[in-house]
Amino acid sequence: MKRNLWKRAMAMSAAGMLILGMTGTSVAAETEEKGGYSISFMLAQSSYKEDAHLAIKEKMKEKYDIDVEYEVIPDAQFTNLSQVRISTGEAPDIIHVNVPGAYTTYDAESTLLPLDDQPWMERLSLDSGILKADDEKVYSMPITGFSGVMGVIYNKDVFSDLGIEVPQTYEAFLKALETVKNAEKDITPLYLSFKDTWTSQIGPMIYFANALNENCDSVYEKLNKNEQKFSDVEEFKQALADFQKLFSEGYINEDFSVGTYDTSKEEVANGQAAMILSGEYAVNDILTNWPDANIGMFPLPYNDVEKIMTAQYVYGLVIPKDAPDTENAKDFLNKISQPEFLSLYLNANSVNSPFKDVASDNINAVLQEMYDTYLNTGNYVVQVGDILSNFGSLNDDIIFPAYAQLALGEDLDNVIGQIDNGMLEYGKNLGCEGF
Amino acid sequence: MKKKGNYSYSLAVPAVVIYTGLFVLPMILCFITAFTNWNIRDLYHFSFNGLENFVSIFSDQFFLLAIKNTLIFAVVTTVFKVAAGLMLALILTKPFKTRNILRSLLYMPAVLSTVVIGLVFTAFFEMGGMWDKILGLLGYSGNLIWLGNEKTALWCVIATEIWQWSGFTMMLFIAGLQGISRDYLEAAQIDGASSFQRFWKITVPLLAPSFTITIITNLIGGLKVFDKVYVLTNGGPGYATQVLGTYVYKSFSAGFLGKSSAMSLVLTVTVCIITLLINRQLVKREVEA
Repeated sequence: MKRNLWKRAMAMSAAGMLILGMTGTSVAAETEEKGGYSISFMLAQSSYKEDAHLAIKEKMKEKYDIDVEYEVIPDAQFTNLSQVRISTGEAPDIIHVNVPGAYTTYDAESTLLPLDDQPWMERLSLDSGILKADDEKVYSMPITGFSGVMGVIYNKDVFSDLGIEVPQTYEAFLKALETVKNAEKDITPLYLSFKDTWTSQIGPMIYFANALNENCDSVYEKLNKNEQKFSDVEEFKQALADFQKLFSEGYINEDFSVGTYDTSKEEVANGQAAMILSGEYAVNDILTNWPDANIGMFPLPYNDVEKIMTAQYVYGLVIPKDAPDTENAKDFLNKISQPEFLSLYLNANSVNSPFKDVASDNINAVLQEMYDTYLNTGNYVVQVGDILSNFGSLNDDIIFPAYAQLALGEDLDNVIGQIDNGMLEYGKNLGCEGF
Repeated sequence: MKKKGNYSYSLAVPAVVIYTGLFVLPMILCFITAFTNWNIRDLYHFSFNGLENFVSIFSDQFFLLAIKNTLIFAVVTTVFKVAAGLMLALILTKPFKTRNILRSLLYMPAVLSTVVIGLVFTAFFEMGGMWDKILGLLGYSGNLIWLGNEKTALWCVIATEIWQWSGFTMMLFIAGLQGISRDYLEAAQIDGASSFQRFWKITVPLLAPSFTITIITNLIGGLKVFDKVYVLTNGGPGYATQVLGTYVYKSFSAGFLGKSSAMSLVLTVTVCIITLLINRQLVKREVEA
């Protein structure tokens, strides 16, 4: 009797385990095998890395028979076009965005699909708090970890030829600019590219963040809630005044108003410019397109603050609620988050990974030094752009033209007034807290 | 008889339907939404807010600058396009061998894509570009950033517009000149009138209908300009070349749909008033041949 009972128990356990195993297999098989659909993937031009994105597209087709159609939109039109597409019900399946700024731009709670329950959430290596909107839900899947570093990218050969050391103070930075200007070698001390309007913000943001230094968070918080205006912050006016002086002193290329981001990278790579103001994305582009370029990066030491400026954002992928097929889009997100796909993107961009099981192996020495010395040690200031992105297209419409006018010698109070008025108008229109 | 009348009217129905759907209804909607707080965050719900949008836009220094730039653009381009078109037409109605080829070449810019023109003229006006080289031949050695300088950017856009559309105006004048009977000119010549007198007293009055068409169409086009400014300067540097068309686009893209409707209404009323007034004056001068 006992042996029979034991045999029955063993048989039932074995049968149960077999059934469980089959279920697991069928779920895995179902996840693995789901494919044979099309995905429309919208992204800004500066986010599109052709080699990496095409490699992902080919692999998706080969492995899952998924057709990925990229809609690459010029940077200046991306925000507006994507907003209109969502509002009019013509949303693509996936949009590549900055998170959390995109949550306000697209009114995430109304237009985007919550993704809290997705399988990749358990694999995240970064704090998911950054991915949460005001309603504490996650609306995007990150495809980068925190990697933003912005400062001065310089040509080491130019510095070496002219006997310039990497400046640790603002006076030394100005002296470096003066040395290049007086060198009679037709080298631009600092090349700026205001034709690509988004680049116009980098200098003022660095100056402002450095001026505030430890007070960044508290001041940004007040600005964000309309408890303070930019005209109330003395450091902002001083920062803009000192940035404006770079133009009047002749340190900036004369054609800055028509200079492009692509030209700025080429100029510093080829030594026709000593320095540019940019971020990790530019370092990667330069080293990819000009592998022989001898460049380095350092924090702009305005106010003698030797900290790199960073941004509390990651790049992520969102699914509009009105996307043609949200189930396929969710499946696609899960697939692209896997190591074999995401590593292609991470290695092309030389950025940190957002997932525990996806390594980023291709961070170049220039950026690794920035991450090791500044970002990972907490030696950074945060950009004001993080809160400005809560105001929709305020940057594109008001802030960037204001910086352009500043560069052309416009009165500071007028420029700051435009920014304050714009923030008020956009804040009211978007229903931001405090406006 | 009744059947014939119904048949005639029925032929106009498709055009009326399309015109109503694509022009009249949007105009009415624009008129309504100009007085509301309509914005992109809530496409299907908006409320009346009186004249708030109009107060806001007329208090906006950049909207007023856009109006000023638009008027300058429209007037200057109209004057030069009409003058250049007339001059070219007078030359190209004379009999000579390459006349037809020249007419085609001069008309060709009018059929080019604005984007292509934008790319070409961005390069043309860049520092050290062809424009600098042409000026260099005339002794100029400055280093202006033509499209990046607040003082020169708008004039570069104006020059591009004149280059593109003078050929089109030329064709309208050629058609007008060909409609003038040579008898008048021959009779005047016999009576001892000089070339200038024949031109001023005979050709110009009889060209009045052509002047009406060219001035009105160029003015309307100039007041509604968008593409040329967008591709060359996008309203920059700063706001230096902002015109009504680009400013409305900017506001619409930012989601201020009620406000941009108000701006569009201002633009529409401006175009209507100016063209009606000028049309009335020009039509008075038309002479029956």
